[in-house]
Amino acid sequence: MTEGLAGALWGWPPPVLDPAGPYADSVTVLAWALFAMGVVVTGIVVAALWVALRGPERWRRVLGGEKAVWIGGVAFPGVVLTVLLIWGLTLTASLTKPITGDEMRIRVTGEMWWFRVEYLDAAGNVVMRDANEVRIPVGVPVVFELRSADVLHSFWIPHLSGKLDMVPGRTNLLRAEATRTGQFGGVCAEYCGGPHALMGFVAIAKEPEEWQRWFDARVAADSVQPLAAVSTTNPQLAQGRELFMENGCAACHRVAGTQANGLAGPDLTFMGDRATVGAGILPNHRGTLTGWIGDSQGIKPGNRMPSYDRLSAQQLDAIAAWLGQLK
Amino acid sequence: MGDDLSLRINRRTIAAAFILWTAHFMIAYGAEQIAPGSMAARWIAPIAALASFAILALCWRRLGSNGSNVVRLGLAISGVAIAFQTMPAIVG
Amino acid sequence: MTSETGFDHKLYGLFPQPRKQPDEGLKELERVWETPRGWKIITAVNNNYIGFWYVVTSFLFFLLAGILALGMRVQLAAPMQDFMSPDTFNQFFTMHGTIMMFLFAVPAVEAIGVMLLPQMLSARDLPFPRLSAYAFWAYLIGGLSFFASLFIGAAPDGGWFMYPPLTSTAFSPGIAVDFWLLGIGFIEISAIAGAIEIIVGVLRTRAPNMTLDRMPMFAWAMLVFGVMIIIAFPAVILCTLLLEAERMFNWPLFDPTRGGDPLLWQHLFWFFGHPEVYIIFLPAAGLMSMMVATIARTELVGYRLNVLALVATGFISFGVWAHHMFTVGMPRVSTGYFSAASMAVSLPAGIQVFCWIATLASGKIRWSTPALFVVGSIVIFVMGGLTGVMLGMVPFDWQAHDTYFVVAHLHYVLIGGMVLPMFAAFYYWTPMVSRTPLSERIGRWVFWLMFSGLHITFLPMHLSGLMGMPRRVYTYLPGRGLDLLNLVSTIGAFIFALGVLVFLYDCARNFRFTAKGPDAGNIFGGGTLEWLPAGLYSTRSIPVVHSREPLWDNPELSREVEEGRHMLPDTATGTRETLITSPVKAEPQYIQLMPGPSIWPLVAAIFTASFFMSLTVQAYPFAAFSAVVTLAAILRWLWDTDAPLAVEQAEVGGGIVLPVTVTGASSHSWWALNILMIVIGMIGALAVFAFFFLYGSSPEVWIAAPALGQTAMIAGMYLGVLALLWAGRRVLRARAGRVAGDLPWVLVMAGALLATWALYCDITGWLDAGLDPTATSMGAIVFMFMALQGQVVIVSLIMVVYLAFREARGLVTTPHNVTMDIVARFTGFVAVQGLVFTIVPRLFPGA
Repeated sequence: MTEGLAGALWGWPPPVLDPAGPYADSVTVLAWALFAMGVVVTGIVVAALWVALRGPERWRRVLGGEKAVWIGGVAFPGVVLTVLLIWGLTLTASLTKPITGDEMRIRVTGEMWWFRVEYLDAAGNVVMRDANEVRIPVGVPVVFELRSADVLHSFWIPHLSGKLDMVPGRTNLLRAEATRTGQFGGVCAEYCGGPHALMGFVAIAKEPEEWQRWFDARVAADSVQPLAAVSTTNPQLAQGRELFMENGCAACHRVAGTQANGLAGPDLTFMGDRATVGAGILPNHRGTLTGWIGDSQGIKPGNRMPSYDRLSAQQLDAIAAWLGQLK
Repeated sequence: MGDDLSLRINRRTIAAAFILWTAHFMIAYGAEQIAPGSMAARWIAPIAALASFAILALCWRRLGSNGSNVVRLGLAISGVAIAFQTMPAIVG
Repeated sequence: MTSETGFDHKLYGLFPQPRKQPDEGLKELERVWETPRGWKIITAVNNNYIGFWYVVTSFLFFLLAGILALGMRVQLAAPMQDFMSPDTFNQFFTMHGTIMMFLFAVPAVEAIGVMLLPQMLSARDLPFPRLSAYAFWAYLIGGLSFFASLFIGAAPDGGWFMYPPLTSTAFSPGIAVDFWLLGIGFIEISAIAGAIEIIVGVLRTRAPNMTLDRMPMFAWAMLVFGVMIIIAFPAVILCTLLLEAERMFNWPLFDPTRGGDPLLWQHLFWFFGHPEVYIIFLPAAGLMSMMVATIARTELVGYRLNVLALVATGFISFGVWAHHMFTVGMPRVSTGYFSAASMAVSLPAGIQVFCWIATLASGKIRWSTPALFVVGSIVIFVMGGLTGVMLGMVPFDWQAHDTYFVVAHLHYVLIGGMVLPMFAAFYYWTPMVSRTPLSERIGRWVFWLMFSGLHITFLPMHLSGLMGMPRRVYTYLPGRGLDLLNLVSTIGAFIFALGVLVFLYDCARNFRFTAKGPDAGNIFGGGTLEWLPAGLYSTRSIPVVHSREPLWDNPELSREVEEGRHMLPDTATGTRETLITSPVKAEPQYIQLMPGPSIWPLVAAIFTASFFMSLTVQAYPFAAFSAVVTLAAILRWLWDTDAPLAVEQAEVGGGIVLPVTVTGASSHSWWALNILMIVIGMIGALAVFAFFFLYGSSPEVWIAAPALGQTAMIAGMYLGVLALLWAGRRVLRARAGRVAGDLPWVLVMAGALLATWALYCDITGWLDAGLDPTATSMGAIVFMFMALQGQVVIVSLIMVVYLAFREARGLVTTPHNVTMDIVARFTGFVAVQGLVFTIVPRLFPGA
């Protein structure tokens, strides 16, 4: 990620032209080819217009008959379009190779205005829950099972693949694979009302061994044990936990190993480990987390979480501190 | 004179050409809607295309030797569009 | 050349007549076509007024939607701004899209059609002036009240595409969505009324001998435009009906938990929505073709190729709708079909562009403001078309879909394909309706501001899209490379707006409307008939046409026409009238008497609007009241038409005598009714598509149909309706020369009543079978069939009562009568549709 003025000015290359996996790679090549085609054809038309308006008489005569229409308007586009169509169809076919069933599976459900993430085992059981973040191992094909809990959403990680909609009543399967490590931004690309603009997530690609270690630890923590952090002796953390449970946070959020079992909002079991706050919009640290809890409606107007502005700054900080060490 | 669009044969041939495209589109897409991904649905498109090409050829011949080139282009565009419409069933 | 109707083409040789018509005739003509004075001007139905008001109103909506766009650009000028709240922004972009598409673009081209077509075809007016007036008033009142929803904060915010389930009651509980659905439904009615008018006008009111091969290119474009509206708009009418049924009656058509499918909306909406783009573009292309010929001062190169391109586009554009849905998870082969059609539809566009270039190359260019706009539009339209080809490629679309890349693409296409040609047309045709032309000098400023503003606004958006900026976002995050691009876009938008502002200044300074001359005249040297000297009655006599640019080929034509030396000089019957000609070769067939000024179309429009508005706010009693008033007003305006004739035939010059008004297949009403039946039939056909689509997505909610015997009985009843109608018409024919008597309308009435009974049996049959419209999507769609059938049954009942009234007053003529003809044909249509709606769900082996 580039920072500062240069980044703001240029931000090059755009994610669509900066592929990080096979499902985006070939589309980038196609995009460049299409761009070249567009420039060339525009050039031809502008040149033809120039000749028609200002060109030498002999050229104008050539251009000024039905023959020019047959060549320029029928034959030339016909050839270009045929080539493009065949390329497009072949590429579509190669990008939608049948799913073998051996891929890693992650179920992502679009909700107003965040992404519920569930890691599945081979049998399709949920083994670990998360939100607004998907972590995948480099070099391993992944299938995202896309669903919607309410309205239409769309799941898009431009670096990794094209987008696919999340349609209520259906499950759409999106193939993706990362060939390099990194953190890739994702967004909801289908208008879903309210703060649709601020509905994002991140995809993080890690080396397979590192990913496996992380994943095993997560699975163990999520399913079996109360987290070590849940029973704390640190007074601030204990206060934060107390406030979390008393102020209704637990009604919507789940923290494994505690009585917080709400399913309406994002799972917070590993909140401290997450890259972002507020569904992909703020970097995750204690300051942003405090701000989010206190004023989520100011940051992301219309989202489903109320602003806890009745709590004092110290209380908000305590909650953020407790959440921040949930890893 | 042969090109005059108010001639019945010219009007009818142009209309026939594109109605044929419409019919082919509906058959190919309809089959795919009814049985997505099936081999039967994929075979219908090229078969219907061959039948369409035969009809287009017939229209072409009926125009006669001094028939309208514009109308022939209409048949050709319809033919190309039908060929395009068949590729998804064949390619990939 | 063989004759189409038996009219002898040698008779054309009689025109121009050797002698000038006496001046009294012209005074009489002016008296007949005089416009009501003072405030009564609102009762005017003449196309010179209606067309002009129509154009001005559509331009007003262009400005309003443009202001909304500027508001959005201010909000997006920098990341995370608070210029407006997300809710306001969502309302703004929804209204911007909706107004631009429904209240500006389609009405604008229709308005230009109403204004220019009669002049270009040298008709005295369009064939149904009161229908034009109704369409205009309905549009003005409906459009303004729709826009007013913004001020009370009740504007819809679901996007102009209104995808459910976001727009279902669960997620949009207020009345904003109903406002959209009913408001748009209402404006669609106006669009369809206009389309019927335009189709019949182009096919039946052309100047004598203006064969299809000699029609001005704009008339061809409007013909294709009208036909496309007839096929495409029923889809959006059905969509709005289905969603309103879900919202109002809880019929789960789009709710997946009860067997509905949100994708059904998308299919129906885009089946309308994509052809819509061509509906907007083709008329503008027609205007371009005409202006290009004048600019190059030569006949359009490839006139017939251009016609072919229009027709090809008209067809193929109906096979591309799902390219808006490549990312919904369609099967791969299906996406391929739509990708292929998207490629194929580019071919005709290429033909048109090269026809224009070839024309420019073959002639002698005369530079002017319209010329600048025309050349600029070609460049912009080509650029937009090319990004369209890119988006037609499925894998690229997966990346670019619903990003700012698409925003850039569609604005290039629509501004290059419609807005700039419209401005060109404003500059080009203003001399026809204004005493002074617009300024050439200011016009160049307008062009360069708009042209550069467009590129500065939309070129960077291609990149912001590829940077990952989705559409319809009220803000974006800093530090993602979007800041500068958006700032530039905002600056560009204001430059574009400045261009529009300068245009308004030009209008204020130079535009002086005149409907009856003297106008600025043919300053660009056009060759088509709209440049003949004209008054409210169009031209004094209707010229016999021998070529595509009659004014170029016969410099004397203006004088001949003005001296009344062509057909139908002055007035033949002493009333408003026009010449009806045959559809292909434009042979004179009969004289149509035209209705004059009337307040009833305006009354009907006001109460149609209040009907829809009361439905929106659920004031049902007032809605019912409004419906009754509307109906009464429409019947009142119809009452004057189809009266027994004072004169049976009249001379149109050169000793040629034509009948006054006819019935049957050569009547213009017969054509209009057929088109209307196609519209209603399309709604029905799409409902049948919806039935199968819903079965395909949720077969598990399908139940067994009622017994076969019952189905056979209902089908038999509908066949009985057809038999009764046939008998009614036979009786009328048998009574030629005598009074019609009661039997004909009694037979027709019996038919309508039998159709009602059949529908009742159908409904009770399904209810007994245990079908519940609120329980499953099957119930919802089957009851939707019956609701649609109910609508036409009610209309046919009203029609037979109207027919009975006319008979009681002795207004039903024998052996043919237009009213009887129309009522019987429509009731026949009701029976056929009922038959389909009965058989499809009952014989389809669902469970």
